[in-house]
Amino acid sequence: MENEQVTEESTPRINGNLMPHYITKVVRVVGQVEKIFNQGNEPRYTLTTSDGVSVTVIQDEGSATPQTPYVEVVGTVINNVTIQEILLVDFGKDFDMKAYDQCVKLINGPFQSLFV
Amino acid sequence: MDADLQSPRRRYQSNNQDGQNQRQQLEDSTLIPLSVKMVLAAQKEFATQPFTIDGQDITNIQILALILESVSRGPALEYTLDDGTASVVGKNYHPQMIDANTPELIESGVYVRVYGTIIQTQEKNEINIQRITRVTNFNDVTSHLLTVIHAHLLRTSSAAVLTSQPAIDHLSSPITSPPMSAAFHMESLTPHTPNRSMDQTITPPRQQNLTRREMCLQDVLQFIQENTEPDGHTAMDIAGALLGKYPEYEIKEALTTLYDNAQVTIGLTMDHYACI
Repeated sequence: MENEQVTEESTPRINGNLMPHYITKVVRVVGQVEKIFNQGNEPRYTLTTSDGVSVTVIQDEGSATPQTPYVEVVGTVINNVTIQEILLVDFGKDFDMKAYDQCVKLINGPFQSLFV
Repeated sequence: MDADLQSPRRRYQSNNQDGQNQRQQLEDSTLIPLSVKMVLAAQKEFATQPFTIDGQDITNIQILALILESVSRGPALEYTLDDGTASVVGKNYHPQMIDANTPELIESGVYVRVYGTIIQTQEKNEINIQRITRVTNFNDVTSHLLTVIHAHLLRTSSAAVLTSQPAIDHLSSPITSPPMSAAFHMESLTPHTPNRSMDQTITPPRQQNLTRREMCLQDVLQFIQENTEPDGHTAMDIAGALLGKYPEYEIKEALTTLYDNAQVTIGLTMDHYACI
């Protein structure tokens, strides 16, 4: 686990539509796992974020694949729809994405000063 | 501890001095939900004074964060805790024991809820952990973020407004009290009207001299008038649509007042209120 990358700065909680604003930044994204696959030798998986955007996650070398339907990925935003995984947390099978997305909008909006 | 805090007998046992001291102790021991960023930003003017956040004294706090690193250092278990806003060191000097000799060290990569106090070590804020529990339901992450916002709104509301109303007993009650916890149940966040914009920001009070109760009445009435539904709206619907600005029990009180004043009427059921 590359803690230095995670602790050097905050890792804002974002959704899919906010990813373009965080290219090259380390962020936290929660999503529902759709597909796990390999591209060349790179294990990858796709997530549907809390606001319905499909995102591809390039799995960190040696890390486990998602074990539950909902996961939180901490990673570096490569482009609008791709994240390089640093850390993966399984969020279980019962997660309210709608409520979480509304929360993300609040913490990136009027209450940004408390979180970002 | 949680059972004691929630017991009404524990809170309202007597009106004598001992009872008031108990209530004060209870309120002093309120677990304030914070983000790690807020913990690091907490300040104290002098070493003997408590930390302050938003100008208010803070004693016991709670955060919800991911353990990035956990290590046993001497008498304490030390955790690096990160909730996405920042990372902070938490030290647990009284860990739970697995057996007589082995303290339970929670491994890294686990989300935990941490209760403790803020301490300062070499001019950097840390957390003196009193209790640490694993998160098993990850909807708690969303719930915690919302209670942080709610607690912040309560702290930053006008002190004069909060101390002048009968409803202050509810507002000043610990954040962990059941009505406020119930207000952030996941279903309450779902907006009743799908077309309602979720980019809406929380607007400040329209008039500075309005009490919180009056602001709530205005906002609830405005919502019902702007969102006409034949069946009406429940307090839970309105609490969610107002993005948690008021807890559900305050919305219920406002609806009762509006009904008594003939400004709204009963809708589909006794819990639904509609525009007249």
